[in-house]
Amino acid sequence: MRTLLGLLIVACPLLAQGVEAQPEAAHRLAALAPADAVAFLEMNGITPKVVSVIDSDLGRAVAAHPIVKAIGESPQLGPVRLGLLALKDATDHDLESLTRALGSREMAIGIYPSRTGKKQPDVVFLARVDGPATDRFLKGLPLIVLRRSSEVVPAEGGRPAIRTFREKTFYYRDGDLLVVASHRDLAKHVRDHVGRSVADTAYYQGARTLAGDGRLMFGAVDLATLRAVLPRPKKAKDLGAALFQGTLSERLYGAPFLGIGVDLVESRGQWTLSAEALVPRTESEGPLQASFGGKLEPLPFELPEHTAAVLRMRRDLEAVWSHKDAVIAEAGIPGLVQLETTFTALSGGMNFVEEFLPAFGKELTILATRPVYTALEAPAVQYPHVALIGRMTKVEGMETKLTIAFQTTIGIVNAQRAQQGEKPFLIAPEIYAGQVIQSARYLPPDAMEMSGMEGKGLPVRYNIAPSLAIVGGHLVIASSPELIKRLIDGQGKSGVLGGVNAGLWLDGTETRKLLEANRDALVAQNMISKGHSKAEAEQEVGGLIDLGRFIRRFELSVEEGRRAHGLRFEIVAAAPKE
Amino acid sequence: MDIDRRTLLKAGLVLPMAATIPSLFARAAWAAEPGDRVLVLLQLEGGNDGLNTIVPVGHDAYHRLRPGLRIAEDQVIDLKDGVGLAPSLAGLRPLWDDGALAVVQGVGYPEPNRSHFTSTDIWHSASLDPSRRNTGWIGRMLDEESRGDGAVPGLQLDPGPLSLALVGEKTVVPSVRDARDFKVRGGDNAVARLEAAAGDAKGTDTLGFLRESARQAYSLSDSLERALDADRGRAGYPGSPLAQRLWQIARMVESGLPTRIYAVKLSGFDTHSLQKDAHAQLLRFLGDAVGAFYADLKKHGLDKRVLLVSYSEFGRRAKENRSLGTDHGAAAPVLVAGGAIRGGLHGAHPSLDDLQAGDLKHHTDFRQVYATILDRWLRADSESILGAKFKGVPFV
Amino acid sequence: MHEQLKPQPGRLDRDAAAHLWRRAGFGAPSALVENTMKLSPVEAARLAVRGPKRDVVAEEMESIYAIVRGSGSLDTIRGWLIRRMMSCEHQLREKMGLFWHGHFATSVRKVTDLDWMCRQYRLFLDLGLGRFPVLLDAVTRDPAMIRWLDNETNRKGSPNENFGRELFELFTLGDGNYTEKDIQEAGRAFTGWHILHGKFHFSAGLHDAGEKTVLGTTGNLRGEDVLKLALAQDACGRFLAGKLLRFFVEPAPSAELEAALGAEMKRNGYDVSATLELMFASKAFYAPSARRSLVKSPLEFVVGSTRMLETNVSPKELLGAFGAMGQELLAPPNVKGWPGGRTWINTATWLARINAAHRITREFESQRSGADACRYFGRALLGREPDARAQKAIVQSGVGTKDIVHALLALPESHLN
Repeated sequence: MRTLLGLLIVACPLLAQGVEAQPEAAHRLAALAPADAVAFLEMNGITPKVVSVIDSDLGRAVAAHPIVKAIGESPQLGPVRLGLLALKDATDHDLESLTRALGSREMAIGIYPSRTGKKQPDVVFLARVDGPATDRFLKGLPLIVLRRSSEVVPAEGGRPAIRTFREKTFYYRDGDLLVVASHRDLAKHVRDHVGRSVADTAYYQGARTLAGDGRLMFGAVDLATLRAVLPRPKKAKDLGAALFQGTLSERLYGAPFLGIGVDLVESRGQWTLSAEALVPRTESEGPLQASFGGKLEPLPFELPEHTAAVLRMRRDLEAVWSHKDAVIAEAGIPGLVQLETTFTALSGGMNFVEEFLPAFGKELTILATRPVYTALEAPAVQYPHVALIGRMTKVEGMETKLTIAFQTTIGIVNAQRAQQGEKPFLIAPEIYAGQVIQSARYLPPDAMEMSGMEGKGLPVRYNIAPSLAIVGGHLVIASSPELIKRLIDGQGKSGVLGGVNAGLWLDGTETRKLLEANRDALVAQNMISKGHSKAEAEQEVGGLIDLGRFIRRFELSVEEGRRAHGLRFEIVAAAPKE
Repeated sequence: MDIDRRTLLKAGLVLPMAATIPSLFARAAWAAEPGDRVLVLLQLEGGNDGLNTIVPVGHDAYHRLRPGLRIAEDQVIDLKDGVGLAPSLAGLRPLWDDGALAVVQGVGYPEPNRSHFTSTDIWHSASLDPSRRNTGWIGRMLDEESRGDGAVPGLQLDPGPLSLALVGEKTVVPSVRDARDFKVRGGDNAVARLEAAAGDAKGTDTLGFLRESARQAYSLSDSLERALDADRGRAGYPGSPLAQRLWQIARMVESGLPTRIYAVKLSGFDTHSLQKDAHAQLLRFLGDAVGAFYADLKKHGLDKRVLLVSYSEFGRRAKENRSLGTDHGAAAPVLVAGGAIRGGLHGAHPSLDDLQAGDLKHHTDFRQVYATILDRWLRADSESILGAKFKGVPFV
Repeated sequence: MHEQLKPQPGRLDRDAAAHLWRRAGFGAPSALVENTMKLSPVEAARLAVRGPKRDVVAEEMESIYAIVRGSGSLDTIRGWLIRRMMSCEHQLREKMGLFWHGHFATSVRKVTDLDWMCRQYRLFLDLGLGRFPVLLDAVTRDPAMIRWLDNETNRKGSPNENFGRELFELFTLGDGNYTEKDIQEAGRAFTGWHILHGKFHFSAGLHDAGEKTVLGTTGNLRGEDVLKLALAQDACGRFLAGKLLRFFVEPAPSAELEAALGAEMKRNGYDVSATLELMFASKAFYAPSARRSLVKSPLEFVVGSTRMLETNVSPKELLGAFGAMGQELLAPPNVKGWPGGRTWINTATWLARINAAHRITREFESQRSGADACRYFGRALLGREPDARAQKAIVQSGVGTKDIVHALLALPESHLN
């Protein structure tokens, strides 16, 4: 199952590749499905080329990826898993015959409330199929689904006859239409065209309007109906989580429907897969939404060389703070009070709420770069250099207080680290291009610490040299003064990554190199935490790194439009060689 | 019956009942002495500035030494005898008025050590001899009292390592971030099933001991869950972690746990620069939390069973530094709170005109405070625990 | 030889084999228990002490040691040590590592150098089954130990007695077998045993080379001489034997048994392996009164449970639980180590154990269910099936296998060793 989900995440949109897009084709299937589907997913065509994609290194790397596995196992995907049931075992069993059987035409999956009152939903799978291969496929179906030969018996009279095995799977074929359902009534309703269809529903039509026609894959979800059974989204555990997730889940929960569109473009040897999930914009936005809303200005820094990832969000910290009870779970509140006090105490009395937060502009950026070390100074495990960048509206008077806060914090951290047996930082401010960078670093290791470690690299602490500066009206807190210097160099240059409300950008190449540099450490961690043998650990870590060979870029963004809010992601991957 | 009540409680149907059940239930289960006295240790980590906690009133020297950090006389809460409470300790005012706040002035030890670590170890081990700092004063007391019955003798509510004060040779004092960590995880009815499987405690062999411990533990978990789920008395407490922990302690005391010692901590007192607002903020946390704690205990008739003592590894220099902060010093006041203590000032404020290397001189050894608590509050033998006889301070 | 130290006759039954592996290791999977059942106690003791010809898991753990050390992370180092206990085939080596860590209890909280702590624990793993004098010599020159016992400040003219005191009281002789005067004089012998650049350094200029009298011997004694004098005492063998017996055999061994094993130990030149082989084959070890007479330490409980259930849990996810259970590796509570025995258990640590058990069983998977699971895993954990009353309480309708195993781990019997 996991393997299949992994594959499908990448493959579903690919299924359409190689076919002249026939946007209206799958749409016609919606007109056949009963109207009470809570979700309806359409795919426009399928091609033998998919086989080559799934069977490629990319396909295998994706399927083996721990994140993909985790997604595949997540309980929220239960209905989807069931929806893919018919495909699943078939795919595992004989991918090529399935592809050929269903080749070059459209298909759709509808998810329905259980016809028997169970927790698990019922599912119908509709596909346009052709030719003799389909017959062969259908003959093999019981074998595939039940993993053993089983007698197929007629289940319903009428024409065409609906057949079943084990009263678990019901199907019929009508010309080029193949219908497989998990309940006889579903199959029957499709065949007999009882009542309204999905295509007639308001949510389906609304989703189509949002996601637009001509998508290679399209989905519509009836949130208004699902809301009755879905739990209300939980408040965030802490401030970080609250800032990160914003009001997305609330919006999703409150929206009448969700439209999903997926596109795939192949050009010059690379695939660009993009997907959007959109909900209609509500008329009135409360103050809570407003504090998380708005569009980011472009980052007024040139991205430093070797930037591996950038996370940006537009958040009105002061407003978020004042709504903290509404967005953060009760258990997280004492932590915030602690933060407030600690900050106020550390910064020599700069009041966190009244002074510090209002001085913040509404933009937060976290940037990670791949560090480049000389052989002598390279740590055995290499962390990315990370910078937290916050736009400030008021800089005057801040510098001194922040310096105090920085130095006091280092003092406290040193005291705590000593308790854990870790070495202290030495405070060592620097001046670069006329700018003061507050920084703290470790003394070089002593000879004994390095004995037996020749050629293995420095201890891991040399990754971290906490640093702070105010650069071009932005407060920058970084894990290395070098990164701050690169930002100083790149001030005011080409602004990028604006126009959305929040976004994550990942560079595949840099990320892979970062992982590559840490291969041994990842293997060691894997062995310790998972109890794997070295060979197993190397294989798993290798698979993760291999994935990076194909993924060139990944983007995930929260966007605010005039008509819709949405989540958008885009993966650019190297096209698999044929 | 048991399970039903828990289910109902969760559903919020019998909240009024919850007020009485836990303590009755726990009493029966634990057979804790109703008169058992409880000690709460509140460590002010980093070196609290005593001079801006208990503020001298009408001393020119104070204004001369603290031109930037001084607290104006019209702001302090007057305690008479030339001193007053910092205004940010307003939360302690009701305690003072009730005679439930004792201020022991000028507490320290000879040849004060200015290292945070060393001085903290000195306070916690109650030993000036570096080779005798393996155990803490409370740990040694618990060793002597150890009933070996598996009860929790003391409890630290703090995420950090266990305070040396609680380290004994025989006694293991648990440390948790939150008393809710005592909740038993598992499916529905987990506690009932585990308890039934554990079997009856019979005999004094090791198995019998484990069974008895298990039984007590499930009982503790059960009563804590009820005591803490009920949100009882919580409304009066501010949101700070210290206040929330004190609230939990109040509930544990109320539910009749045999635990006599609780330790909590408030950090951030190492105020080397721009101290004024930061220190005031910390004192506000202290005063508001302890104020709420006392009011809660009093309301539930528990204030006479609990004594809270707040201390710090050292005070700070009398003279402020050039960063509008203060550096590591020596003597400082110790605050004691409780409904059964003798409130008021104990000892004079150390003279500002007679400093020792820039520090206030102590006139009361911190071990005198300990001896008082050990002998008169906990009814233990301070001489064997502290290794010498120290004269008590009459706050108990 | 003392009657109780003579080999137990016959072959091992299931309960005896499970008993051996719980003590000479952290417990064994069923297959290993069954294989051991064919052996005589002497053969089984030899297998446990000498280990397999090749410990592949240990070799793999060694191959990542440099990275673990370089991680600078207490959690990673603890994770590595716990993983070793969970997986290494030569279990006694890991168990003795833990024994010596408790014996020479040193805490990172005071040493404040993780790398030093790492290097110290290595001594226990590398030398723990060899001759005790070699280990003792290495530990007394170990930077973590020198700092832990304040010997950095021990110099001619202002001696610090801490080192001498703990050497006699805790490492070699035990209370009552030396005088305060011996401690003071021994302290002088260790003046100048310092650290330089993270390494042992003998500062000749700070060493008190004058005449001293330690344990009845007078001369210009140096630290090495004091170690030899301590090892020459009968009390030393008796003290170490007593500690081994209390850790591995029974909570309160008789004075005669301690003396007898101590004499054997002194006679064989403090050969730890030889002593353990003798002990693990002995009648005393297999006596009915010795079985299940010890309380498992948190590490024995957690590591043992994963081994006997043949399930896998990430050590790092359990680190927080070890704090709550009262046994944090590299941070024993004080110089005496973990007091052990019944002090492991109070209401708080019991709940922490139950919740750690819950964590262990969270991802537990098995084909077995109901009464069958209860009997099978009960036997794996306890060496025998749980009694009928416990089975009845554990197996209730609608209770899944995870919950059954959780309840088995929560049985007080599961915490007996």
